[in-house]
Amino acid sequence: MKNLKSWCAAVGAGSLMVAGLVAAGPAVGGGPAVAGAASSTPLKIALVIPVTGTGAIPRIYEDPVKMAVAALKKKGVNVSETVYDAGLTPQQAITATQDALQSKPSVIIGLPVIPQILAVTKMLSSAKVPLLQLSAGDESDYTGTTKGASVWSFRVGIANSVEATAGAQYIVNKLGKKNVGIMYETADPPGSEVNAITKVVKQAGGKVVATQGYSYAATDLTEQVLAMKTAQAIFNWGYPDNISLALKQQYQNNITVPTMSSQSGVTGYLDGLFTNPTQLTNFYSAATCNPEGKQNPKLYAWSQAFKKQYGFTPDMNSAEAYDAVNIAQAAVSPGGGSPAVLKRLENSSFAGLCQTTYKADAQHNMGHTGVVIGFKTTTPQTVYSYTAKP
Amino acid sequence: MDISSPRVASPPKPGVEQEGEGEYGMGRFVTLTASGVAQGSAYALVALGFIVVYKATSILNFAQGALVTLGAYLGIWTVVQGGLPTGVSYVLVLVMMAAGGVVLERAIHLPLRRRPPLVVVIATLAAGLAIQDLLQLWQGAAPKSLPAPFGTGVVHVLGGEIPYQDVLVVVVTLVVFTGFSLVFSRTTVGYQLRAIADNPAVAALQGIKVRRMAIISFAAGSCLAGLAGLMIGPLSSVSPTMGFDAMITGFAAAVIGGFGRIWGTVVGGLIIGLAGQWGAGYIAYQFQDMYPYILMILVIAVLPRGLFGSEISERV
Repeated sequence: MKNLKSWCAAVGAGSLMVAGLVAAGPAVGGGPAVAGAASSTPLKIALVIPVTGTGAIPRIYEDPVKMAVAALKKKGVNVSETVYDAGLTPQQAITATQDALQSKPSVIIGLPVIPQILAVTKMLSSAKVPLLQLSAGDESDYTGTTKGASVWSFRVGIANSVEATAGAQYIVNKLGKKNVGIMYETADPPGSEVNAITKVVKQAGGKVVATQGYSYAATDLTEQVLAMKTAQAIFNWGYPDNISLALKQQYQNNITVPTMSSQSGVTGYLDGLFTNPTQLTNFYSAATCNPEGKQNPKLYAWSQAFKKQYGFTPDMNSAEAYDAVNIAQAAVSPGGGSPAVLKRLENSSFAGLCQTTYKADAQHNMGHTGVVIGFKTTTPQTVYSYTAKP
Repeated sequence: MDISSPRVASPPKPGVEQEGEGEYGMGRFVTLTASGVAQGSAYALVALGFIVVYKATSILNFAQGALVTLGAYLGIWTVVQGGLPTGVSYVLVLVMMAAGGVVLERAIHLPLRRRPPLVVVIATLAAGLAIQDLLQLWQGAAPKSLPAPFGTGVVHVLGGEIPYQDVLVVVVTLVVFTGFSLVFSRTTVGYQLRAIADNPAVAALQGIKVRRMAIISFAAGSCLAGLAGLMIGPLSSVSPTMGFDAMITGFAAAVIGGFGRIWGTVVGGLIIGLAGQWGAGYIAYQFQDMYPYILMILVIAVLPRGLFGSEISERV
């Protein structure tokens, strides 16, 4: 009995010692610590993204989030991430988000599909968990204080109109092309982008000479391309394969005017859809940032490190996903519960790579700078940037 | 007619406006028509795969779209990723597709051949969806590019531009349809297929090996799907769902032409392709995708057997 008591005391003391060492964390021997890491609130990330389903490319979100989490862990931050498959439909998003909320995450990152965000709005509001969404959309697409949206929803990137304005300003003001044509994919009509482009064109005294829509599944854009014959420049807001098809047919029909696309152009370029380098000499994309451009050294360095680790070139979506993790960490780690986290997300500025600074506006769009990327050289270069006035 | 080498475009000079040829010029008509003919030829090629299988088995093979996509991805695998010469790659793809067709027949048609036809049709649709998902797992979801065998150059005709790939699609379709037409009308295999299509039970009693014909038809249909994929792929880009739309439109072409009619299918395809392009160009581009299906409904309403289908008489 005496030996048993002694044994129990020794085990108990040892346990207390181990617990103390764990609590001390990096201060004892874990490497450089983030200030306050030992006492910071654990960051539990639920990454809700399309993993399965037609067109799902999970790695563009999963890998940068993993990279960001690993970097935080190296600094001693208590962080974890779990992936939930949101598929592509609203119902799948609801199931995935319900699943994620069961684990009581600090923050949800993902949901790049706009209809899915609408579907989970009420769940976010009742669970009081912030969503850092990785969608591209209009300013008021289910974020912030818009009717039907949730105040817990924040867009990490820029609104579509900022991207379109950057592109339009470059074409109209820098290249001097005032009579333009606009092509767009009809399943998701780019209302705010067309309005933004038209506004810039009209302010410069120009006009939109042709506007043509096309189906996202179109395998031929002859009519749309021919309609652009009198334009001095062409805007094309669609999916990567639409844009590459249009560009190919433009050149086949001797239409070589400057062409500006949405950020899908960058994706198409990285996917290798533009097989004729000549077509790229006058081709541009408006995007949230350019990970391949050396003009942003920090972003470029990250892009090279990412490529080395994961074997593919990251685009702006991946850079935003990476930044989302660090925004989450900065908002959550000081603690104070959900209301405090919400307040920080609404009012604080956050440093990032894709956007140098993230700060939520009234509609909870956190990014405000769009860039224009040119493809004349072997790597995409940033040729213009535009920052929206608050 | 001016056959140009592939165009090397130079950037426009600053300040120089591009000249237009007028909204309704001959060049525009030629370009739209050529595009319509090429698209229609591609649909006809897909439809021929339906017809070949249907003639031998009375089954509509709704895996045909996925097989078109598979052919395109096999093209990317051999040409782009494998670096093989285009001609060798294309032959290899057709051989692989024929083998795939045999597998499909053994896995789907053989075990279910005594079931109601609808059961087999649903099974082929399920097989198609499975193939589509497997393709996405294999090659990923991002669209890929299949190079055109003769590059992206154009032929100039009356002020219009006709891409080399469009010419290739039309030529290949004409050759294939001529070949199958001769097979069906001049060869033993063709006679046997026509006999089976007319009455499988009587054909079997006559000594025709119905099951062997089923295997041959699935192999041929799959081969045709692969060829369609190799022709359609370079026209735009290759993605896991590209074949589904081609299958639906090919089916519409077969219905318009008179289901089962070889050359009727070609005419049906041309009508669909031209309706899409001319409708978009001269009526309203917003309804470009609708024109083929509106036409199909109109044709069925007026001529239920299609443009060239034959009357079906029934003994009473």
